[in-house]
Amino acid sequence: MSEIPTAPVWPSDDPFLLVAPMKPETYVRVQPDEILALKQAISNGRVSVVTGPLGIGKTSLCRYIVDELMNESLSTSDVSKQIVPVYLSGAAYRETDDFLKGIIKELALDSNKDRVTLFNILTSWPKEHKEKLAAVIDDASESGANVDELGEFLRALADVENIAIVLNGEPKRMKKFLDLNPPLRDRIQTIIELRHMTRDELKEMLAKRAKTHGVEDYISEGAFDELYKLSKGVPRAALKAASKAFELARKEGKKIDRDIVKRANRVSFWARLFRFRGKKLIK
Amino acid sequence: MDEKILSMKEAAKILGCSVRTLQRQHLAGGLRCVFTPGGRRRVPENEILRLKEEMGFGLKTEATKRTLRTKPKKRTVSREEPPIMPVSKEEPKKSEQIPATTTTQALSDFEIIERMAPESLPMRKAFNDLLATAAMLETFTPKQLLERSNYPEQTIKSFCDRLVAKNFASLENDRYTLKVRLFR
Repeated sequence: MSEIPTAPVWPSDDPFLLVAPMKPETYVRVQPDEILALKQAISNGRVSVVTGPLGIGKTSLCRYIVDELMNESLSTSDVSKQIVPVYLSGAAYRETDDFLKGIIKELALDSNKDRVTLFNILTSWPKEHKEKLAAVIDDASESGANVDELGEFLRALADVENIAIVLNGEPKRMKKFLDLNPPLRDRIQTIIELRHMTRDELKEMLAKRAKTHGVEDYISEGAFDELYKLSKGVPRAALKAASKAFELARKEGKKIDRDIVKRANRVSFWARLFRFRGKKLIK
Repeated sequence: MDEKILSMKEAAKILGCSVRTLQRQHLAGGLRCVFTPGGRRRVPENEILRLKEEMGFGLKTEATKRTLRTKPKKRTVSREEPPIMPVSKEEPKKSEQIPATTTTQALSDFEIIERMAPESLPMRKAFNDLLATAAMLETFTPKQLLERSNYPEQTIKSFCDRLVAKNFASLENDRYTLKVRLFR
């Protein structure tokens, strides 16, 4: 008879790390229909917007889509079906010209030219290239660039055939950004609002993460319940809580159960009181 | 410990200079001071005797001499610039020769990818990303590239093969070492 070891062997690295490079196999498709619609919009060269509250997985969705499009294009030899996704992190760019240079640089073209030449590369894209271009701009509304200028630049890009744009941002800021740029807002085809995860989706995500490190058997059902309760279905919050529980469980040499999750994420009475009053917590 | 300790004002009177001068001297390191618990400077008597011997006229101690000496030196350098010029002209020549001897070329990522001749635009983009990762690692295995990116194995393999074929990297025991430096 084989005995089940009571004390689990925990790996040294955290499977729930927030900054871990996300692999496609750990991604959970939360709204498959809408993701499909987004991909359809990209292949048609349209403008789409992804919004949702903090930590809901907007950036993860963008990265996932970029990776998937890239792998699909690498596997086909049909040029007209190839889509080249360019991922830009809006917060890193201060000026609209930087966005332009960023796109050219990501495509590994010579970016040491003046902005008119660079812009012409993009506007004459359908004439010179059969492949489609998808500019995925993460945190577009949070960038430091001039809002009017960036809006005008994106509008000009949106008018070019075969160039798709995906904007991603927090709902309030995105609304503000689009309100200031009505021509761009009019060109938007699909808007995806990411919702909170259900318990099963959250469990699937955490289990997938745990599986990459081979620790999926060490987490009990009660722990998933508790993590869902704590995070209210926000993946980032769930990962953070799971990460804390992992540290505690490794220290004590136990499996992750409801009790461990509770103890690892316990907030003192006073801290809760002050959080309720909306004061800043200094721990 | 019977040494007499004077206040700054007294010391200035003996030396025939202002209190401010002494303070400046102290900051420059030319005057050793003691501090009272209240943080005021006091000057030991032997320090005053040393200064008197050392300077004769004015307060040119070793520390101030050092600072004064540097200024005229700078001027002479600027005046003698023409004779120095040939020396500085030679220097860049030497630095130009260095990359040739160590065989590390500096190329922009655009040029490297152009020479690797990717067949398609997605391939080009993949090579660009992989090159950035490779440049960060310097020596790498295909497995490391696979872990750090989400590209298929086949793409990574052709990337590594082409790096070696175009003499941008060397292969030793399954480990690739970049021979080029990227400049941006």
